[in-house]
Amino acid sequence: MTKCNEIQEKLSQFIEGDLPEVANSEVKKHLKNCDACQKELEEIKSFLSILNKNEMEIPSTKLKTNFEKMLAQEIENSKPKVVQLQPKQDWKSFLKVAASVAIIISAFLFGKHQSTITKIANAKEENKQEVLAMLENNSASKRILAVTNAEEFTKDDIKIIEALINRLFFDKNANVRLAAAETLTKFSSKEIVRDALLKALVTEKNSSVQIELIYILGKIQEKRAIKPMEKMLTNEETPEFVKQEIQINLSNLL
Amino acid sequence: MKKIVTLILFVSAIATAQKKDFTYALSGVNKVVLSSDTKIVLTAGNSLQLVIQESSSSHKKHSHWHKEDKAKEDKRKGLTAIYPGGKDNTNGFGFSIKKEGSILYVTDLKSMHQRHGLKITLPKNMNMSVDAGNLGSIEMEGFTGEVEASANVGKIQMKNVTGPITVNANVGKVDIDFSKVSQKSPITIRTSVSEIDVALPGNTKADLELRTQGTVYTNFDFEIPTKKGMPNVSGRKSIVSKLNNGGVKIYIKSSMGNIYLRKK
Repeated sequence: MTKCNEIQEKLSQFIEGDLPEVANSEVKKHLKNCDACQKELEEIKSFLSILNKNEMEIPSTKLKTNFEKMLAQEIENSKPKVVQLQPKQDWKSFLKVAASVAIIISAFLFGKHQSTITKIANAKEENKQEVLAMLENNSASKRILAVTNAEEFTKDDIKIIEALINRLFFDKNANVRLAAAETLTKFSSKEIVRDALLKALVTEKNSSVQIELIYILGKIQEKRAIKPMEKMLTNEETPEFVKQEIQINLSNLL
Repeated sequence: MKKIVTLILFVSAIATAQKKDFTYALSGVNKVVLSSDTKIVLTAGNSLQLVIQESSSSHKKHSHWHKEDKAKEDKRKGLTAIYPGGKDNTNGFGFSIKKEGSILYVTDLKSMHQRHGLKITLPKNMNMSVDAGNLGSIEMEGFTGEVEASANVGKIQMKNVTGPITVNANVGKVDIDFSKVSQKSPITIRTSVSEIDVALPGNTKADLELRTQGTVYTNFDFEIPTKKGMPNVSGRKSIVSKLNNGGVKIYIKSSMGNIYLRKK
């Protein structure tokens, strides 16, 4: 039996024809006498024949195309994803940039708008500063221009009124003092203006300004002017034509 | 021939006998503030300097005092004249000259009794402010800068000026002849009693305001708006009108003097 085992081990090699010459004839000899081994041989042969019969299954071309299709589809499926991702990023950063630009522009516009609002609001203020500055100009003609421009301001603008009163008292040019007196008449409802005009009548030396002041005080019905006017009438130094103006206006006041 | 030679000699002798002019360079000066109590005659020059000359008429008056003058000069030796109005820094001309920024103050230190008129030359376009004091008068011609002038009793006369002009006179007449009217800033001419005579070129653009208790005479065509309402009690009425569709403001106001407005 041991011989059978040895033979059966060699059988697969025998079928393939891989056995050496001696072993081959030995196997042939034993096979003629042993049925069991003959059977074994048949079994191996049939098994091998099945193996040989069974051809290698080759995948159909359909599979390949299918696979390629799938791959393409997969690529296609994944491609838009990639494409989608890119613009998504752009869109976001664009949004960010756009937002920041929008913020900057809106801030700028708001600031500008704000400044135009303040400009409109401050236009008068600027104009006022301009007038105040021009009231100090070297040129008498410019100062007169400023004094006449000061008319546009309201009665409540105390700074303008004070600047005009300052001109009335201290401007070295009589024409500027005259213009200041005329403009101040428009603010004569203010007590400070009436006081100033009254005081100027006493301090003023130039007769044309005196005449203007007498006329103004008569026009605004300032009763307190009666006394200084009467004093001027008795003053020998007062020119005759000034006295004449006083007499005209005094009759209006009394 | 002999006569001519002697005449030339005579003239040159007079010329040399006259006091020299005082000149002052006006670099960096854009306004001259001048005050004197005498007759001031201003002429427009081309060089950038101030020239002060005592009027020759005064020299004639003084010529017979020549001897006396010499004796006086001897007396003054080693002494300097001092004045209440300031320090004489014009080499005996009796003026105080002071520069403050771009303004030059020229103040006459001598009284009107010692002055018999001044001839002053200034650049044509110089801005100036001239004060003739109480008795002094002002005469000028050919200036294109801004002029301020004031006088009390003396007259103010300007020829070929352009403005801006600011004039204030009291009793003295004002006579201004514009060659052209500057549109820069307002022109104001005011007097108390004296008449104002202003001549403007026919094409002058201006916003005119005239006011006086005297009468206004003109050959300009005015549109005088007829005002309705309260009658003016004091008799003061302004004539407000535009010349050639309006322009620079021109105020001509007198308390009692007549106003003559001429179209050239």
